[in-house]
Amino acid sequence: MNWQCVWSDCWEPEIVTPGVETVATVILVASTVLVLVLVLAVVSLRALSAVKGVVTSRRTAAARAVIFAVIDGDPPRAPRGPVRRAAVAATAVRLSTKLRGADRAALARWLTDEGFRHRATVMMHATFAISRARGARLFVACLADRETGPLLDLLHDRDVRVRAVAARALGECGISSAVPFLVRAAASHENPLPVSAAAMAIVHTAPRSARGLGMAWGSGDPAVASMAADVAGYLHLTDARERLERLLNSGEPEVVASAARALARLGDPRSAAAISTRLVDGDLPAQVRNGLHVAFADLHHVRFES
Amino acid sequence: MSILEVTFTTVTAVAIVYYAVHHLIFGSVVIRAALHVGREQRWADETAQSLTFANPLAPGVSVIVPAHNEEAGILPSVRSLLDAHYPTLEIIVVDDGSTDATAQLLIDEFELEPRDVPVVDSRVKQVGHMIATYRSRRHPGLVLLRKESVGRRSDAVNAGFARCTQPLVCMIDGDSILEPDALLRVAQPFVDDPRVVAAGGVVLPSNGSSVERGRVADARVPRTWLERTQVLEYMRAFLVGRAGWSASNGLMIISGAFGVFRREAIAEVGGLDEQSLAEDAELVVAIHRSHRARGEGYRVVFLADPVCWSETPSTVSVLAKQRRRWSHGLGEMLEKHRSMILRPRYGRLGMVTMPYFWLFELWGPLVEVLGLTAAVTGVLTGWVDPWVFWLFIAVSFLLSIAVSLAALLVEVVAFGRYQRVRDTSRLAAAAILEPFWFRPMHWWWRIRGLWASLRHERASWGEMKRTGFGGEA
Repeated sequence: MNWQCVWSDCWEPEIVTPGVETVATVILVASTVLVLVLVLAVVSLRALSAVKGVVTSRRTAAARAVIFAVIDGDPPRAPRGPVRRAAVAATAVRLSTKLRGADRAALARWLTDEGFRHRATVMMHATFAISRARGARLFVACLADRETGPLLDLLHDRDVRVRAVAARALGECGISSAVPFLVRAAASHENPLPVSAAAMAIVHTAPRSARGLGMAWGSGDPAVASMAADVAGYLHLTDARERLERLLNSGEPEVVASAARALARLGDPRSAAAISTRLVDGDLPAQVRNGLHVAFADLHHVRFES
Repeated sequence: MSILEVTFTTVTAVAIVYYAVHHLIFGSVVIRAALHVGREQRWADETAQSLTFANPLAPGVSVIVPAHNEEAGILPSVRSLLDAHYPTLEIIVVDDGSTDATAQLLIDEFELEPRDVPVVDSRVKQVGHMIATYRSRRHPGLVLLRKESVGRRSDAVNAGFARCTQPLVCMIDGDSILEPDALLRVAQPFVDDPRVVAAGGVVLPSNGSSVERGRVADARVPRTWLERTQVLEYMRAFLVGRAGWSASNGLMIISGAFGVFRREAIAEVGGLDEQSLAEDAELVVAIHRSHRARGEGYRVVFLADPVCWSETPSTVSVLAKQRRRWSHGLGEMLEKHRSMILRPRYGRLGMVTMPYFWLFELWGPLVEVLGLTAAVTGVLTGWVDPWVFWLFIAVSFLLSIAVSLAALLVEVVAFGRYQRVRDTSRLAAAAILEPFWFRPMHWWWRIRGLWASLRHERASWGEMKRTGFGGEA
């Protein structure tokens, strides 16, 4: 029985034409080839990745041996090939964060002598953000003379992640003179440095006085003012007490909460009056009010149960 | 031409255009995903994570663990959180009306004692009555809330959210295990970019893997084809789908099994929608919506590196319920936010992601069945040569297999979590077999979910029989 004639008066559909057949065949062949290539790629890359892992670990071991020799005072020449040099650079970046004092200075000097510092500076001006970030990391490994200029420039990079990497690098260097630059970058309206990255870097540099945080105390950006309070609290900057008490009167709940936490950490009983005044005065959110109560109780060495 | 001929020609033409558009969009998503994962891999910076870990000013994370009858896996799950590498961590387990020993196991294991845990954010409401609150004597950051269940996971999460105190909020399931550095990795974008309001990581099935002391010690592919196919599905959804959508800031879903949000972003949309079955997607869309409405720059990101291992259904009946529920929830959510669809003010989300999900994820199974029916009708009536029909089926299957293999390739090249070549081969085999047996079942489950959403059926969270993590208690 011919269903075609029963249903539609022997109509011949137009979709079955030689052109369509050709296109369909091409699609079928292409799909089949795609699947076969993918199957081969999956299985072969799985096997190759094991080999690659072995090669990479050997290369890293060789790079580590070079760097250990540098630290031991018997510096060899850096390898010449770009892949090996990249392995040395990556290993130096990783190890440099774990080295201190003379060892770190020796490594930095060797990296500079072997051209890695120049390479880092070039990378920090690269087109791609990832290259600039890698350049910043390598630059820190080469840093022994505290010449941080190129890193300070990167605090205003157009890519936010590069700015964060630069802040971390400055924090790692532990140079407290970088703090005002970090604060300014965080408070900037154009390409601002993420406040959390700035705060973490500043804590790492550990300034000894609240004065180092400079413009952050008077910043109109509540995130920056809160950052100053948090940093002062964590670093126990006792000269920040009066500034923190002033921040309690801020109209921003976030700033008030940070100031209360910081005052509790400083533990100066003279701050209790300012906290109790703020508790009486303002119309504050429950969480901030709770924070003020906790701080007040802490200053009196009492555990607060809400 | 008769009416039947016109109908046939129209359905065939629509099906061809539909398939072509679907594969074009998804092809671009696959390419974007590969580029995104590759780029993120190059940015990976262990030093940054070490510095974050060592820094007292790293933003604290409150992890909310909603648990309903999770006695099989709750202890390893909480242990994995207690062992997580993160400087400031608060863990809030919400026992949502469990009838098993979930709460008692926690109380005994972690020395929990009844203590007040105050509400700190009243913008998020909970419906179920709070029964009791506990704090651990041994782990100061560990809290247990016991509440009556209203049949929705979202209410349990809201109860936890109202009491959490940290600026970042992470949600994971009660049967999930976080990799030790997963929180560090997923929190790093929040440190590096203040515009990031939400971040999701990868969820992979823990079935088949061995778990020791709250950690996945050896990632292995599960034994059954049903579970293996789910591993592939998760890879496809996360390593291709979410990575690809995230690359264009059009990510619509962050899994409820592993997502981190800025606390303020959740609070300003009133928490999770208590009525929604797709509360995770609903939350992300609401966050997109509120930020777009204010014209604020923001990012919702996906990270392919941090992993949360979660137990997935091991039987067809449980999987069927789960997939029906997902489809039902997707339909409800898209219906609720239909005013965002094809509205340029909502950017890629409104112009591409949501229409894509509506057209291809929600209605896809029905259109595919209609297309198949048309093709079969065409063969029976002689309007379509049988070879064209088989070619249509073959191309459809091959492209489906190619997408799964592409996801597997991304996993193999970028991460290699499954170390054995044998496991990779099994997953490749599962990818090839999937269209023949799993896909038709999946169509049916999704069509039932679509039907339920069209009828506005009210559904609650289903029960899943847990087997736990390799017998670990």
